[in-house]
Amino acid sequence: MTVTAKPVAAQYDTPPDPDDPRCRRTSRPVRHSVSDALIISTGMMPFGLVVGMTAAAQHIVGAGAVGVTAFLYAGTAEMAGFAQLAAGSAPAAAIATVVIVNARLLLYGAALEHRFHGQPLWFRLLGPMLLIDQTYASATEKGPAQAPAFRRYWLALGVTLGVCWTGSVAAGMILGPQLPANLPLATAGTACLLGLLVPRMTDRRSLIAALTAAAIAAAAIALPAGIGILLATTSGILAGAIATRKERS
Amino acid sequence: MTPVTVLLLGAVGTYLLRVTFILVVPAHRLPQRLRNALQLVGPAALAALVATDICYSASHPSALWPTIAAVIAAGVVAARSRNLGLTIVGGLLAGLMVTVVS
Repeated sequence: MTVTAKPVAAQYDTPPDPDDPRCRRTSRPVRHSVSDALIISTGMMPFGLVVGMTAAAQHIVGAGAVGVTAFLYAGTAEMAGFAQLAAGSAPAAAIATVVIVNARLLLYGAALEHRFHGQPLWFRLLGPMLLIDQTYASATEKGPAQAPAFRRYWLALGVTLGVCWTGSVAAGMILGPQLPANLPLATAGTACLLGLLVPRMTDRRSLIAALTAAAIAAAAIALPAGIGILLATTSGILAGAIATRKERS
Repeated sequence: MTPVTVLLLGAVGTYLLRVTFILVVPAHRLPQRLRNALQLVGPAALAALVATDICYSASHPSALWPTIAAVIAAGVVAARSRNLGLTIVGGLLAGLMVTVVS
């Protein structure tokens, strides 16, 4: 199978291809972005309710709790932090857990850097605050190629999702005691991740990367939160890269 | 230290992760081979997250079957429609139905 994906640098340096769907999105990037964000938020908000309910159960409520939820903008890490606090861990251990669970964001930042390169400093400082699984996946698939349009797309996407996310966590804090405990709300988050994954499995190397990562993640489930995901992600990338080299040789 | 302070410091650490390869060590200075490999971050990370969700639900009996039903339904809908909204709704409905039935 021929590998058709362009190197990252080539995507950045060459003029935009008018047939690329990302170019067609250059007009009205905010409108497209808000539309994408509202669809994605249907998968994030049920999980936000679960995070809010968990926070309320541990009496972590109020404006400060909602504010830090917005700043952290990472539900799985927040849940891991709650678990550490509930278990009576030292604050340093809980902080380290939150950071480790989010370690994959380091890779997302590296993969998206070419879209931030050449952007204004304020955007390079503030834009990464909106970097989560969903914004990364949506921006790499649908984000406009040109820098100004990408900036507007990214900000509208991240802020819209952030408002929906924070609002759902706040709603979970308030409504938590009234909601049935056995609602499978977290399945919406899993379905959302799957919906973002499937369209990416378009060639052999991405398929190998995904299957390897899934297998390693399952095998590493007993490792501390976040470590297994990071290990699985890097293993998947490595396997996909090796497959690419074998195809070329 | 209050729980909010703990989460705030975790958020500061998370921000540093987010900006490291954007501001501190720009990824365009990395070797070309490494940058090509970064195109695989999406499929690898998303697959790892889905697999972790499934395995995590296995340790919570009440969550296992709703999660499996949601993953199967979402996978089928995603492969056939490529529509994210339908995929999420399909997964959530399948999970809810299994919860109600069981």
